[in-house]
Amino acid sequence: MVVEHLTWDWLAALGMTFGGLGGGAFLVAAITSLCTGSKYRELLKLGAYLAASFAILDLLMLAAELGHPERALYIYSNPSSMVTIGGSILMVFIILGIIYITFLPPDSLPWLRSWFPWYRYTAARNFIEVIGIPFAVGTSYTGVLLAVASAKPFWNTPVLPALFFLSAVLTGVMAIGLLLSFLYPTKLVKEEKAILLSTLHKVSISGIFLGIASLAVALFYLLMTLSSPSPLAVRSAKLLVEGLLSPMFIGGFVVVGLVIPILLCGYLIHMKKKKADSSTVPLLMAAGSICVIIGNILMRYAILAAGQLVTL
Amino acid sequence: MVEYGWMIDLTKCIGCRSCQVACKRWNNRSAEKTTFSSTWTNPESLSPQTWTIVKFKLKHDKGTDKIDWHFIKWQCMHCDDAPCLNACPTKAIYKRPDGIVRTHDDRCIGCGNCVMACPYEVRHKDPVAGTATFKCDLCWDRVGEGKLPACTQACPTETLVFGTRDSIVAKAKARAATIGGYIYGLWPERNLANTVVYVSKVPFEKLGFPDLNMRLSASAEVQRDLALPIGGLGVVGAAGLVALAFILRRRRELEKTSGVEK
Repeated sequence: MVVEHLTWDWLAALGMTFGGLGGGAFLVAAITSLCTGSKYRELLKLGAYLAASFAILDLLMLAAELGHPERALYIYSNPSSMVTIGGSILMVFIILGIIYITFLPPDSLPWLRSWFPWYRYTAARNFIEVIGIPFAVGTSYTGVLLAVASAKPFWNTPVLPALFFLSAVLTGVMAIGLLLSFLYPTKLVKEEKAILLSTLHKVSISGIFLGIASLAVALFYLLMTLSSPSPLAVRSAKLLVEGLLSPMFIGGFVVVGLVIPILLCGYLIHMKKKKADSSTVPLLMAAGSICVIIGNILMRYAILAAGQLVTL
Repeated sequence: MVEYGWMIDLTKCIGCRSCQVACKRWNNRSAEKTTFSSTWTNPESLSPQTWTIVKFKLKHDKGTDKIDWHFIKWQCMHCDDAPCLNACPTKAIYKRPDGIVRTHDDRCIGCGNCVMACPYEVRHKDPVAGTATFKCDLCWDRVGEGKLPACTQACPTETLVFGTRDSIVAKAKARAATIGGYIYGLWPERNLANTVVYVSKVPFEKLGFPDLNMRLSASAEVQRDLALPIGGLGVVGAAGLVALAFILRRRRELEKTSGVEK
């Protein structure tokens, strides 16, 4: 479904999702690294690669949506504007993300290590992780950007940034799970296989918690806006619940993007408990991850559209 | 420089749309293809080609079966504390000392943030020009030469009254007192007043005017209650993680050492 004439449309929704995914992946990698060292090295590497690449994709999407991308550098002119704040956060995050990658060069490109001799220094990597965490949280600034838009009462709630942040971390975790699933068949050594399965298990547990939290916050957001004193906010919320955008929000986000992945993650945990055959684990994880990413794009688009379609 | 004021007395508007036509002519805006809809307002909203419209509001009182027509001339309000200006990341939007809110065409990047910030739905991004700069500029070129804005010149009923800020505010208050009506655009408790001030016999919330107090305070609260705490939380969280990492690493080292000793 495409709604025409929206100022912020699919490109904005994609940019917001990708930025959140990059920030979420960095958060997961950084926190894992700070708490467990290099035990889950594959996860750290994937988190680092996803962080920088998706933050750059976010930047490209946002630039593509500008009417005059050649003037994009002007956005750093007004520190009281959320676009200026968000653009600055994103730029610093991309730089930190690229530096972070140099600490985790891929094993398949050993010559890269000679380029980045500092990759051995774990303390320096941890320093980048610690510095990067607030900026990774900041990549979800788009929730605040919408929440401070004074023309859109539907967005003027602190619950929206919480929803965007939680779902961003969820997409980050699940995107790492997706890439790990693709890596799985290539890892034939038994120990590595065991570590991968253990990592996927932890991704499943995180997926369940973050999925349930996102679901709870999404429902709270709907209830809050449906009972808002602003008629505009109520009309927007109704678009998501029973109107034009309900297939996208309820079907696409709540069911496909949250409920199905939660069930899949639950099943993966159940499989581990029962010590069942693990050959389907990557497939189920990949399916759950793709559902989460698609659901998040649809959620952001539906919320953007619901705010813009309702007018005075 | 004189600060302008502009009163729109809704009790006098007859919905003739002369203002719409005059605005199009003076500002060289093209006609737009319109469609049938459930309202007489035509075009239904402002756009880069239509800088002012007359909104037609029909109120049906079921008790008396009486129908009331309300005509509301709508355009940029040239806000005192303009949300579009505050939201613009490039400082393309500026307010002149005379109160007119204008935009530097060559600084606008077309991000659309002002579109989301304007509570009056005045700003729209022009898909051709790629900017959101096209809106009422209060005929700054005319008023600078001592003429009236084009729409005000064309108004046959003196619905539109243009003058200095103080005189207009005084006229609006006097008119509201005479008709026992309401004023929109003055917020003395916030020491704010839009350049455009409306007078009506009917409360403005019934005419679809946004409750600016509620909206602006909600968005300001989010910025104050969220942006700053999240930033602070990020810093505190990062410091906490450093401490956690240090403790965990130290514990691992101790475990390794004790393992070796055993």
